[in-house]
Amino acid sequence: MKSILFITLILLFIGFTPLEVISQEIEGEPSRFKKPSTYAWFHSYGKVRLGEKLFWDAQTHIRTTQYDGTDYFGRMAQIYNRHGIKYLFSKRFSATAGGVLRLNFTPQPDNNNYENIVLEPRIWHEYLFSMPFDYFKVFHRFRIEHRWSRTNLKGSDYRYRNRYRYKYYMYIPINRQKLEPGALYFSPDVELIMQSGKSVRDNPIEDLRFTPKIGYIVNPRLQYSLSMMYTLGQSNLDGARYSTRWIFNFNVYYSFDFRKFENKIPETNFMD
Amino acid sequence: MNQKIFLCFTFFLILLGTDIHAQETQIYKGKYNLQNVGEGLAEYHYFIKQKDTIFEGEFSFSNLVETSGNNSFESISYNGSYKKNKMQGDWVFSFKAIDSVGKLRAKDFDLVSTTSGEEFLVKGFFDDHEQKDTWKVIRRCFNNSKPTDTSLTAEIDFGRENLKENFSSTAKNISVDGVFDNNGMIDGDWIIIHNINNTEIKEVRKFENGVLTNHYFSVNNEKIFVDYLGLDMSKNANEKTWSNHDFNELYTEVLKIANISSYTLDEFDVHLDDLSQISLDFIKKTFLSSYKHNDIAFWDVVSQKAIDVDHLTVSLRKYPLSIDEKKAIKSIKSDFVEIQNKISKFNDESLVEIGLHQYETLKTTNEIYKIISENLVDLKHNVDISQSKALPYLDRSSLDNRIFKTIEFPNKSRTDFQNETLIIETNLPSAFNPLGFELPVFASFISSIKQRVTELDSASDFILDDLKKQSKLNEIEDKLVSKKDSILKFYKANENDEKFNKYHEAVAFEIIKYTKEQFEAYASLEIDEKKRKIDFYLDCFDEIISLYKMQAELPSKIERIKDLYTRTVWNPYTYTDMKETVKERIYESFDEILLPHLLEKFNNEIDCESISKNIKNFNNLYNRMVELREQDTKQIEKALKREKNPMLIFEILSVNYTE
Repeated sequence: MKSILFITLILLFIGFTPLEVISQEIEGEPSRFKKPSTYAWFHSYGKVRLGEKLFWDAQTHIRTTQYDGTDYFGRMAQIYNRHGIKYLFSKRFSATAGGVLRLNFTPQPDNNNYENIVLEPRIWHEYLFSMPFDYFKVFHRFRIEHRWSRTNLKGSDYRYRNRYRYKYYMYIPINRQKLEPGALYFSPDVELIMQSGKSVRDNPIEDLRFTPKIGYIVNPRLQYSLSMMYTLGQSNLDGARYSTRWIFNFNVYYSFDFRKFENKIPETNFMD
Repeated sequence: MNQKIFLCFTFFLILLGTDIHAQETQIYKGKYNLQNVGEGLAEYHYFIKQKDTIFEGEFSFSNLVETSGNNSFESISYNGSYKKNKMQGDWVFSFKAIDSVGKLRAKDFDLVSTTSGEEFLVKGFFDDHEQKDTWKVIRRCFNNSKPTDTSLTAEIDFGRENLKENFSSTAKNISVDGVFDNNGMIDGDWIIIHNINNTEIKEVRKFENGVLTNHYFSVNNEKIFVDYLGLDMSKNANEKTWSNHDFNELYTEVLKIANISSYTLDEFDVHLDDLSQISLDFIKKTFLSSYKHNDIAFWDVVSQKAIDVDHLTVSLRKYPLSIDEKKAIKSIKSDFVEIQNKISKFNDESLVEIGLHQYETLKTTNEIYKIISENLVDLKHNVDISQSKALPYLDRSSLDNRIFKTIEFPNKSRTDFQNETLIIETNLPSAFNPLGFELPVFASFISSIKQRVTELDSASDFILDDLKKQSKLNEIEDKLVSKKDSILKFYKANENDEKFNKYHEAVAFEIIKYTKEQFEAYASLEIDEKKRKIDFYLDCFDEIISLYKMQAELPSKIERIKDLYTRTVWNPYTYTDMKETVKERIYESFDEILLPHLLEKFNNEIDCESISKNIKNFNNLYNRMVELREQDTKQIEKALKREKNPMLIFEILSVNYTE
């Protein structure tokens, strides 16, 4: 327990250490960090149980960003629909595949050179490993996305890129011995997003996200979390330039069981 | 031309041959099972028609069964023939009881021996499955496989239309000759000759169309008539009330009850009614033996369809029972049984003998029961006749003391009790006089006796219970001490007692204190009080032991309710099985309000009445919680919102709760 907490703190420390400190020793063009932009993300995560091993993964995200002097909530940034079918191989491993349709809103609503909304389709598949410990859980998530995106500038072309995402996160109960209804939990969350494609030159690191979350389990079918995320990633135009963001994040997690009553009886667990 | 005739003739022969082939009889020889008889060896001719076996031609069957280890056997054999499954021609049925078997000797490839015993034999003739010609019944002994004495011969002549014409039968001491009318009913003079000490006594029963019209004995040229009371002996009037009956037990019972002759032939020391009964039984059994042996209708065993046996038939007039009479018959039976049971229960009670000298009630009961018992034989005689199936065939209004017994009970009885003379009012009905007999009157007489016996039974039971208790007090006290010791052991904290839990611990001190107080309170009682109250203390200690057992089960019961109201759901975000409470308001009401409320009562109300009440309340709550889990409880859950009052919650949950 203690060792895991220690590792988590180290990771957080590294995550929040300004990159200038790391890059001081390296020769060449120094890294430059843009002033952080601000976002507010409201995400809903749905898992609808269709069968003993099958789930429908349904996510809807609404994201706003700073604009015209208003931080976080200045304008609509994206509306995000992610759907997929999850297959639960065991209680320690699952795989999901599906599609995404993201609506990117114009960064300059008053500028006629920009289209108000641009569609960004994606295909995604992910592989989630769960590691149970006595008092907490550790997850390793590998997600690969194939995306077709373009800027909102009128006449801009779609470009194809692949994203390689690795996410490490934990669920650590705070006020209970285990994760159960009524439990407050702390979820340290770090995700590295790499990318490849013709347009990717010196900017393979698209994003590195640090998300320390505080959550609450209302019941087995509903929980919430709140966090303030910090991200940094290489700019499309110049790999030495890093964009940074502060993102206020509120998530709702819900699940339904569409199976018949008699199929809902949980299997007997002989291992615990 | 000749060739054509030859061809036609050949074709005709082929057709004929096919037909003959279809009806061709076969012979079976081997093991064969006859229903109600068993397995034996049979040989018979038959053919198959539409997959059915049709008997055609000779049939023989015999079996041999060892009845005990000492060379005793029984053998049944049939010999006869069929025509298309119908019995046709001579048939012989034989039953042999073989008592001894001679030495075995070889004959060809068989082992044979001589036998001795008795044979019952019936020879008859069937025509198209109907009884015809002369039938013979013989019972004889055989020795070394040869017939010796014949103990019975009987002949029945059947004429046309399957009807009997003559009947004659002879046995060692009796012979019968009789005829039948055109309808097959017993008719004319039936002459019975009784042979007593080598002297013949002639009995004549005259019948007209099955009705017994006259019955007398002829002794030394003198006629001694047999009188019947209540039996209609002429078929002149009320023809509708007459009906035909088999010459069976019912008929002989009717004649037996109605026969009021008591004449005795002094020189032979024989009662005429006994001779009457012998002749009735002889006729009945002999005729019956032509188709029944050992209660098996033996012709039915081999007949492929039922034989319409011509029974011996008589005619009787019926006097239907009124509704009141039927009620009376029913009540006489039940009342008399009750009287007998209560008297015999009293007489079988060993404590009566001691109590008689101590308690006047027991002495009185004993005296009155003695009076009834002295008349019990006569009472039973009257009751038996009233219950007889023959009664509806007798004119009840003409029955009197020649058939029923007169019964009289004294009003008072005198006896000695504790060195003084005790005069007892019997309070029994004074008398039953059979003159002008009426069933309801007799029923009322029996009912009055039963009422008095019931009074006495209840009064004596009270005293006998007290006596029993007194004699068993020591034994019961041992039980009380044992129960007290058990309670003290149960509630004394003991590491080895796995059942002892926090619920026991919470009340242990008070329970031990209360048990000791109760036991001391009992011990300080007077002996009469002890007898009266020991049951209360036994029950009280039983309740405390029940409380201990209930408390031992409490953790598992509480856990069971928790399990019932908990379900496991998979959380797809945290990847864990999570438990959640269902019907949360109901479970919380139980867990947070009702259970603590009852536990508090268990802890604070330590007295027998409250313990019993609280156990019941808990069991009712537990059972209701189990029931509610499976029911639609939306309304109940709505009503429970913010409710904290345990009494109201019990009401909302419909728990049967006693304050």
